[in-house]
Amino acid sequence: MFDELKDTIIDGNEQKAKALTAQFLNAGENPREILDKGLLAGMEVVGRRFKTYEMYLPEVLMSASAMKTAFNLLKPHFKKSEDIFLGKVVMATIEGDVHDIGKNIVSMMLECCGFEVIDLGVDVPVRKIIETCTEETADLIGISALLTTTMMALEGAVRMIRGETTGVKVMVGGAPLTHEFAEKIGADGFAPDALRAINMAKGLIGK
Amino acid sequence: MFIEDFMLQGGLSKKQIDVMNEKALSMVEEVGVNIPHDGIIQLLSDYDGVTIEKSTVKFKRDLVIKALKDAKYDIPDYGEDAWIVDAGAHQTSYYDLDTKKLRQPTTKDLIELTKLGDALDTVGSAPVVPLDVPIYLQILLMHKISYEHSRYRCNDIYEHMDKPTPKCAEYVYEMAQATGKRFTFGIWMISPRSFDRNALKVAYSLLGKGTPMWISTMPVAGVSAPITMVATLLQSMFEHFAGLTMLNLINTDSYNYIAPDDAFDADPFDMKYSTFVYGSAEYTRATLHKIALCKYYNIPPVAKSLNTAGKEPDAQAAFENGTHTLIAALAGARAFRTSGLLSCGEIYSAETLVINDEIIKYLKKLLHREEFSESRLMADEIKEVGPGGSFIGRKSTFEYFREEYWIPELFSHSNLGQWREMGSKSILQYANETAKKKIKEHEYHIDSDKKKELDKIYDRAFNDEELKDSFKFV
Repeated sequence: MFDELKDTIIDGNEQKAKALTAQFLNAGENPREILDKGLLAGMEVVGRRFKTYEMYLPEVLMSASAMKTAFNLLKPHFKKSEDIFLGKVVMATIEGDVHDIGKNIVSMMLECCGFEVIDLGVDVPVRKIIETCTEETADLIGISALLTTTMMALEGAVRMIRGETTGVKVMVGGAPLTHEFAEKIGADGFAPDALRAINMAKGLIGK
Repeated sequence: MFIEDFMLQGGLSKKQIDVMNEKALSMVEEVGVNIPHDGIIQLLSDYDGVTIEKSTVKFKRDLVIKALKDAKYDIPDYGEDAWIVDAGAHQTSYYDLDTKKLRQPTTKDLIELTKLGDALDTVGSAPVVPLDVPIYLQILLMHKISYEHSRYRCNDIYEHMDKPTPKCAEYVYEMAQATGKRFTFGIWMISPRSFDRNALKVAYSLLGKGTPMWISTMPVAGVSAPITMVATLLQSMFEHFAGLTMLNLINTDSYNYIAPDDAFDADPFDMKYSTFVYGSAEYTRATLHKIALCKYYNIPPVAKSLNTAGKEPDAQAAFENGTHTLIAALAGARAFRTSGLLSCGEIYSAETLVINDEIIKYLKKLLHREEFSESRLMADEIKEVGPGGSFIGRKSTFEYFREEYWIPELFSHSNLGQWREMGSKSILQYANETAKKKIKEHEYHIDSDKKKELDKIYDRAFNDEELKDSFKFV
């Protein structure tokens, strides 16, 4: 029943995804089912194909965009945010660093894969990240650094987050980072690209 | 300064080639070549403008010019606009895909490598010699397998397979007729200034059958030609001229040509190791001169740019093949030969063939002329996406990215983390896996009726004592 919607998401056809979602809602279909069996099922295929390098980033983002548009139609039909989101993530580029291409892609993908994302932007002090996380009761923090200089600041950031929050997972990313570095600074996870970041985020919050 | 197009400067100038042309024509007229075959000498004696002294034959320049003019180069449709890769030249050592060790190739290898070559759209001769069958059957089997498992191999102007005896040539001719494949015969001259007696014997046996024939020569600087590159090229020109003129006079039932594969070849020789050298700086420069000569005489240029002195699919092989092919492509060549070969042709390597395929794709993309238009400047996109925005999710990116940027299969653009996740494989491992996959997935095969015909001819050849005997003095 939702196969066409699922395929539309895979194809990245935004207009059609919106129209089909509206059609299902008008027909009285359950929003949860539209989300799970249509939108998220489509994104799951996209994710799989991205992982095996059958689909490339612009195609994934077209799918993500179609998903987001359709998802916005669904949102008002859910009672509480926890019914709809997998978890809440605070994203930021570390203080001193203004590079955000990778961080933005990860934010966008997280959002499309069912996370609620609070993106604090670039050059963000750790204090601000911690405050937002506490206020918003976030499950996860994602911090990126592109420069070898700012990457060193991640160690202090992770230490500070650990000291001032409880139960929040921290994942780090950025070109110069490696699994070894992430492990060394005590982060909960590192991913070399957006898709793996999504899988990591799901794993970290147990979804 | 603006760079108007991709280009090279240097190499032989038209003025220099004019001088060489004049000298080569004079040498054909005044010095002559050795043609050790009575029947052919007899045929040539009928012509005005041919001077014969024992087996030394001299041709007047008008006969040479006519032969050059009469020569026909039938480039196949698929070679018109595409880049052609000619792979293999019957090698007798092969890197086993599983053990990675050097060994003698077998019939099974011949089949697999023919399939791989076909999967990569390559042309040319059989990749390896099946050394598990008797010598008198090897050439026949190489043709048979080529016909059975590939579309282009041994079937176009880039082919240059030996037919060492008249009887062998007769069988190959029969197989080609039965399958509708192209049949030609070529003669390699023996520098300096001579023909191979056996090759002349085979050519003579094929006269009257409408067989296109080609001439080739490979003088070696300092060994079978004078030491300088220009002198070796001059000798090559002279020998090609004499050979083509001879063919034009005796093989009148078909057309004749200078084999583009080795046209005006002039090989360097390493005096330290006493070896032929392909892939060297001098040989790469010689390729430029050969391309200039081909352009001068309207011969489609083929660069022997995928042969290397490297013994393994290593850095030397990749550098020599990449540099040589780039230079040749910049000079205008679009056909590149000897892919898969290592150690100057001693070894065949499937991995090298796959890596060279990637090198060719890279160079094709590199020399792709930038498409320029108002819409491609995308000024509106720049205006629309402001500071802090991103183009990555734009429809224009989605629409253009695949065409605009090449996504290599082998020379992976993955980052360190992704590469590790994929198993931290070397290029060589990727090439090995790709080769195996392509062999496994290859589907082309000849019609079963034609295959049956080939089997019958081959079975007959198997028991043919005359064929067997004909190889005793090869």
